[in-house]
Amino acid sequence: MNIQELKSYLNCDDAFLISIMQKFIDEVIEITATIKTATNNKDWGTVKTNAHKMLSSVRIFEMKEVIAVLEKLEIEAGERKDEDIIKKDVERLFVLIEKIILDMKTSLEEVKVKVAK
Amino acid sequence: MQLKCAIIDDDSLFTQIIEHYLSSIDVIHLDGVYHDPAEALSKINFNEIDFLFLDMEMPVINGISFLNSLTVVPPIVVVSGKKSYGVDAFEYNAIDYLHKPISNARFLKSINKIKTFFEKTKMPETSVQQNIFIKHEGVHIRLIVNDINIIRANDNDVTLVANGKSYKTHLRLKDIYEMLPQTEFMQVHRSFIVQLSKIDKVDGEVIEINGRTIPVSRTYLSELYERLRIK
Repeated sequence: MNIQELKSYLNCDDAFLISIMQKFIDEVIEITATIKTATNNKDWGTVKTNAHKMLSSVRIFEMKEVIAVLEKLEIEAGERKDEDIIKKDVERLFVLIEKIILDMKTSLEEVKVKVAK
Repeated sequence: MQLKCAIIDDDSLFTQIIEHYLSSIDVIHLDGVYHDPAEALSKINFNEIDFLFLDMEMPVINGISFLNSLTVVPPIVVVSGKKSYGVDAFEYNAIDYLHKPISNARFLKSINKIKTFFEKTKMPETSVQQNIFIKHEGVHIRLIVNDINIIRANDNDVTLVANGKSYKTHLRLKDIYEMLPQTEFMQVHRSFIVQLSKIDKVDGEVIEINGRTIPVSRTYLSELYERLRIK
């Protein structure tokens, strides 16, 4: 994710960028928790809905790897064909989410430091 | 030109971005943001907004079901993360179709489309038949056509209800009907003409406008349902 490109894409200032990044972090953490619980409960409808919800957010930040997993998960959870495949993709998603949250928090701190200067 | 809109989308990150985009556009006033379509159905006064930004993929009530539940469908800008909804956008005569995510540059293009849409379709119609004169208590007074909700024939005169006020005139119901744009008004009973976009509720053979109930004759019922796109 390139912060300058994102600013230009959204045509926004740093303050708005900070609010969007923070919201993204909060939302993704919340949705991940929901997907986790839904997977444990084999509630594939909720997995599908929340994969879709997270897709909207990650598309803004062009997180291609996560987008690919979420698109696959949305279809699989919707079709409910193979529970093992769904669970594998959920695990893969969690690994990626951990990384993107960490990256996003780092970027967010960088922008905050820049604004403070 | 000042246009009122509402956003219906369960994705709060997206709506925050659209709110940010709209904040710099003078010509459009954001009337409300709804993350729950059911809440939008109960809170939006569809007679008072000019268009909607509508997400197609929402849980429980999706965009299509939402549109099908409306008695009067306002112009819409379809929003979706899936390109396949472009076909639905076409079917509902959408002003534009926005594929998520939406850059500010793409959004501004959409705003231009929206402005052109209203300049071409809405403005000429209202400018031609924007107002009518009626003789009320001996004086000719001007009524803005869009403000007229109900026209009722009484025994000896006709009452026009506009902006909550009633105006009596000795014109015949038929004469007033001819003065109004037929695309917007409809006779629903031998004694009543109504502006279609002002109808709040339809319950069998009764409609409601601003809390007033109006009977619909069987003769006009199927045409009314057809014009309101009630299936």
